[in-house]
Amino acid sequence: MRIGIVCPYDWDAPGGVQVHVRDQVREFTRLGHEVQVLAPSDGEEGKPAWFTSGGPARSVSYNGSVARLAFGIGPTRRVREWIRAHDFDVLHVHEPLAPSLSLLAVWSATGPIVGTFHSSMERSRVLSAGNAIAQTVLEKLRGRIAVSEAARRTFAEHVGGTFVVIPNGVDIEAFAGTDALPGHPRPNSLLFLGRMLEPRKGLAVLLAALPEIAAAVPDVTILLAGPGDQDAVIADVAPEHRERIEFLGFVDAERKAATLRSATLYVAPNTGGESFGIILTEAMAAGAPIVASDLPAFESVLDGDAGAMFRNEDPHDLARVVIQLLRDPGEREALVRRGHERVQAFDWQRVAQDILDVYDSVITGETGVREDLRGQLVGRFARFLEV
Amino acid sequence: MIDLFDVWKVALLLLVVILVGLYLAMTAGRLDRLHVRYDAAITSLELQFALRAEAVAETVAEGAIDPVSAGLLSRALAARRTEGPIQVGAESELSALLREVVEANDGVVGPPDVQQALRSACNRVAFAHAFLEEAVDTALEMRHRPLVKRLGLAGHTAYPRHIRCDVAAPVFAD
Repeated sequence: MRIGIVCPYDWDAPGGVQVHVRDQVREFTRLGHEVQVLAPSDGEEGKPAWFTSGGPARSVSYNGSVARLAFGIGPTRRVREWIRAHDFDVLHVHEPLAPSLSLLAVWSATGPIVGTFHSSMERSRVLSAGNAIAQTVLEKLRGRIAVSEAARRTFAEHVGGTFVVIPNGVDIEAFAGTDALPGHPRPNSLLFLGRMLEPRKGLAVLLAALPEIAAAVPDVTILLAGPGDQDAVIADVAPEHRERIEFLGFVDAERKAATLRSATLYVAPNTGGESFGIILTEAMAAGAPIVASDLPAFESVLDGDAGAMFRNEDPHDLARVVIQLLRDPGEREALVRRGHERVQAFDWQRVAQDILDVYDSVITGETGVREDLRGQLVGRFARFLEV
Repeated sequence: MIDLFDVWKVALLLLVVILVGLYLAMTAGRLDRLHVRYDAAITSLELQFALRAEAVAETVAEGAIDPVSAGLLSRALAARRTEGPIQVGAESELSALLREVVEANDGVVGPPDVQQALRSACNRVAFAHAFLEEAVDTALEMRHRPLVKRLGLAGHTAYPRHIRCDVAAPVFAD
């Protein structure tokens, strides 16, 4: 099958959607399919042959946050060239309502088009459904995928329609069987992973729970892995607890598995804005016992018992759960075991097969993906400028 | 002698006519797009039902399931016509029977490749059906708008129809 994938976010920046697309390319290629990717980027130098840049990403202030998006006449032209050059059987766009390349691609193409909806919570990054352009985009999608039950519910409410739920995949083999970082794991250590100063990642909740945990478990330490100003983090910690904090710095993809294995417990105190929780599947694959806030997205990934949960934004409840688990190695092992069973549902091999089934269910046989010029002034105009 | 006031009135009238015309053209374009999607969705569901029947036939031919299951599946396959429109009754019965057969055989109905082919075929039917219902809903919502009805913007195209059919996939063992 010839598959065209469009990623709306800057390929040169880290992000969940970008990682997902990379994994998708790897799995589909392994299964013998031809895959091409189009994403905003500063250039194609040093990039694989399957990558095409849709033009540089521009910073746009949008509903109060800054997004990096590609749009304008240049990207429109490149999207159209890309669609004409590759005779795709199916076009798969990620986050079709993000005002970037995905939207341009749906706008410019006709035929079997599938859209995956990721982050329903980040309204600031997608067009509202009432928008006439959003309407056109939604009407052209032959199949819609939501990455979680939570995302499906929110999107069904937000834009309406039917979604099939296919979770994000995790490369289980890559996460299993790695060693911990040198000098780890130490007893009674807690791991936090993610941008430290972003409030919705919930580091503040964990730090608020620290005094209570330390009172019960005197040698407890916290490992902080992720970008953010260390001084700003330390300033919020009471002086007597500061020596319990260890900074691991920014963790790249290669060190992620090792980092997840380097603590007694992995704590995900996120307070909201998560539509999936890929990090939890990675932690399960790496064999780390998980303590997570009871966000709907996390609950559905952990399926009730593959991790311990505490009341969201409640440091006392977090402390209670953590203390209990630090004192009970048997229960920690049970969590790891159940996590290992649970994570099989997110195995990339299975996820890839499900996505391919969606492709097959929208392909009708006679025509593949074509450039759409009907009734679109913008399209005709773009075409006119090329000649 | 033309009054300036009249010129303005004519210009305003012209503008209104142009805007209404644009709106109607856009609506007709949308209707067309929705019907194209509906047609594709129906074609796709027909195709997926046919492919599922093939996968079931292969599973039966493989001989890894008990003879009663095999017999029931063969009978269900024979009951569906291979030509013509989708037969909701026969396909629903096959869906329900497949779930029972897979469960009765502890989730395993053949060697991994045959089993995977059947699993995919069942998934695709469910996906194609979900997407079809979606296409029907959107198209009907448009068709039922008073303006679309009154002005006959959809031409003589038939109303899209829901296919009320049991398509739930069986639960296979891993």
